[in-house]
Amino acid sequence: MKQHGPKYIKQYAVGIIDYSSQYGGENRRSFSYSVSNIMGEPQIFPKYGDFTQAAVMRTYGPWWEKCSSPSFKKDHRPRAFPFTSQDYIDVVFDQAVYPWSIAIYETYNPGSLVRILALCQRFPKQTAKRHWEVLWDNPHPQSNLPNEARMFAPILREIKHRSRIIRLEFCHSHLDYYAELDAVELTGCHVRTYLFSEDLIFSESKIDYSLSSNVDPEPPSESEEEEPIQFSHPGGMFSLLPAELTSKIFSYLPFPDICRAAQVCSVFHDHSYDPSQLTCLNLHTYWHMVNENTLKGIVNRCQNGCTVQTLNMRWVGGGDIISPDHFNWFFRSCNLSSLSYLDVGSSPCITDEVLTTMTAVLPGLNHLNIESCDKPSSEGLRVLHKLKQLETLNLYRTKVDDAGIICVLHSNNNLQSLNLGSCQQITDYDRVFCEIAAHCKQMRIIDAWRARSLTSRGLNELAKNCQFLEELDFGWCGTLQSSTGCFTYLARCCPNLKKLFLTANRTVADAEIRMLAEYCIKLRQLDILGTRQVSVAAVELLLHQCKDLQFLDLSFCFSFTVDVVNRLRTMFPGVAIKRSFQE
Amino acid sequence: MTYGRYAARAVANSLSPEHFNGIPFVPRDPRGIQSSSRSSPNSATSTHLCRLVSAVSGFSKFDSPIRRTSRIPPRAVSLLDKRLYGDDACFVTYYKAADVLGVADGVGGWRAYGIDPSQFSKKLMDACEMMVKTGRFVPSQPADLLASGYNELLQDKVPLAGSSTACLVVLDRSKQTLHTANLGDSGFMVVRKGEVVHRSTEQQHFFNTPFQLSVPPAEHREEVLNDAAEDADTTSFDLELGDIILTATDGLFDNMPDHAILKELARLKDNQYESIKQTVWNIAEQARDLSYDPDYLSPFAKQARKNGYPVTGGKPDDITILLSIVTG
Repeated sequence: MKQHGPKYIKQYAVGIIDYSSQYGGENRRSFSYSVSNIMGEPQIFPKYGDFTQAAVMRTYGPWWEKCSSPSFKKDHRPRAFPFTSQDYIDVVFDQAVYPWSIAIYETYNPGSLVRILALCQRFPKQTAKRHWEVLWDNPHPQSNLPNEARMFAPILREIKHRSRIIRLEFCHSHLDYYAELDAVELTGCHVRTYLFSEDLIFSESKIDYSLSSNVDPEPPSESEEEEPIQFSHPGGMFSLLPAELTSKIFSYLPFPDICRAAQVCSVFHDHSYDPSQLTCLNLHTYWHMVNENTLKGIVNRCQNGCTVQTLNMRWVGGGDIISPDHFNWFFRSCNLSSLSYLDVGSSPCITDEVLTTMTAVLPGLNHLNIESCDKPSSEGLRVLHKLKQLETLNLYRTKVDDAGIICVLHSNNNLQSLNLGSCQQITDYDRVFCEIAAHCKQMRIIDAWRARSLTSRGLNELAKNCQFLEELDFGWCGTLQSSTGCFTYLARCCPNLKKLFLTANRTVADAEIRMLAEYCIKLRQLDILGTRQVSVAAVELLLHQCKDLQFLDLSFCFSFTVDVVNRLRTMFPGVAIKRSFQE
Repeated sequence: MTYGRYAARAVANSLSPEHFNGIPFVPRDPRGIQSSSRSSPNSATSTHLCRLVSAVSGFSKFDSPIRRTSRIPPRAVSLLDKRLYGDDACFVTYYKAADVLGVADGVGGWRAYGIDPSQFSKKLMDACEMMVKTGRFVPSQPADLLASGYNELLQDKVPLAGSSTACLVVLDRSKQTLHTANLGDSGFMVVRKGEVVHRSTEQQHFFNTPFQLSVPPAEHREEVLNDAAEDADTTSFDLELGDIILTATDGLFDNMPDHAILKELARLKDNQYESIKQTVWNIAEQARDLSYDPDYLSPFAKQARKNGYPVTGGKPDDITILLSIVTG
């Protein structure tokens, strides 16, 4: 029997194109807690718990941000729309469809999904411009959802293009523990079936492109200015206000509005081009709207004297909507010599060439984040040593190798914060730690998540020489053996320790806990997940001694049954005690 | 489409999207979706390649025949579909043109340390199965598969301890070749026209102490035997249609001599799943009965005597048997 009507296709993700972070290791042969687990059919659902077969991101809750991270200049400018995304996963499906429904299988701590976007290619193909369209967003994620697996399928906006690449954006700062995802299912059809009117759709997508609509904002033409009769001043009554006041008013406008305002009249244009308006530029919020024209607009402003000090371009260019050449041009043409903070995390536009340009034109850079940029090669990353004033450097999930990081350490003796998590190409973390100990005595924060070759040799050297250490993440460093006494030595050397993550170390025992309780009373966060050898008495001592403790992860520690943990929670209500489960 | 970081890889046999007409529905219970491609063992595979039809049976040693009140008809019993028999674990899965089977026997000695030995073998087999299902293996290198499955155990948040023997059997359907890796005293045999034409060799350090993969608890790191997955005995063997592959833990081989197994296999009617299921049940039941027979000179007892232990009778142990036939 032949039926009329569109044919709907249901498909699961067949690939992962990109992601911002993952709990699992970067080894392709390993699947545990790897983001790639989101591919294919559900494996865990409807079970609920902390399973290895789930896709898990690197962080959750407020804990990672709560510690005294390096002081980035906060962007006080209001946003055009609420933006809470912290992590993303780009999944690809077999067939491009007009999305009708997207369902996420959440098998642990649901409620982290905040936005869904689709990468669209405009048809016909000759204008093959890619762009992202927002299918759904919910910037205020629900907390305290029931602890059960759920299939979450929000109602999507209709879009005018077919897509097979979907970005899922997550916010997990409100969650109690890691969010885990099992699968993602896309339903759609090859032909358009609109329920809404074209106009509505058009107006929605128009909002999305506001950022690019202000390309090369031309000063209003003479004729337009003559038209208003009531006011003899260009810009109406605004020109009567003191310039400082107008400037102040403009500082309350979101960035896209500033761009739009520039097109109104010459007064607005001048104010929006005021150098003080762009000292701190956050494009992360608008990453999906930033295209080559946006970059052109910023270059324009910079050439007009804007001195950008803080530039957040996280995720910008995702889906390869901007070519690396254009990024290169951007850094070369923009006068960014006063830039001190640059975040280009997870941007696929960062290549070896772009890095070379960046290091040449940004000599005064103090803070650099290029986490999850997987295009720069080990050799390409070596140019970072040309930067001499780095205080914080985030190289999480990059291809930096031993030689690359060592030359950076040699030329940046003021480095205080370094993220070398999941850097697969570093073969000898001990040597890197020895170099840190020798050259960067000011070091306060080190993230060595999944540093596979780190042993007590490197750690002891670090503890001996860097007494200001405050935050250390040695999660999944399986080669650190507590029997060598390295952790007790660390505790004795570093009284300022505020955060210590020994996730899945397995060898942590009572001796280490007692030592921390004795020497590191400023401790705020401790993670000892997965050890069999820590007793309840030792942890109680720690809880009594460390009054500042806020976070303690005791998941999969054998002595800590539900009852024990509940008792500890009542005794120490100020401490968030975590106990994950795998039922 | 040239897309920057395209690292996609196909997922086992789940790519054919379901087409349906009219209004799409979002099912409440996705288990319904899963069943279509997974339940029938080889539905998505093309016809001209050979394939394995497999059935599993076994017993935990705590299921003693004395406690048994009535003979349970095989069809009605969920035991047949179980993947765990006491401390034994097994899996049957496939990816593209490879059918993969595995058995593992958790070493019971860990019970004395307060460690459940079944956890290790179960997680090892789960990890190997996941490796296969997600295409993270090379059919001709089963020892590598075992090694990456083992490495995965260390990646679990749950601190695991224990040890296990393991035997992996991979049928490369495109070449009709069997690739195997065996560590310890589990094993497999290939039976063709009533004769054993190929089989695994047992690996032992000394009597009743097989080679084993292990994760020692942190406090006993020094004292534990730990063999590497690379030490596994690996073989490759060309198969013919109709070949029978029997993969089992030592619970079978210690209690049932070859001729008894061959006799049961000879009674196999055809290569249909139902008859394989019946045969594997019969073998398992017979092995289990023999294991509790105190007067019987079992293969285990013979071996013990050779090593100077005056033992008689069967060896009560967990038994896991996977029986597969190569069909066209």
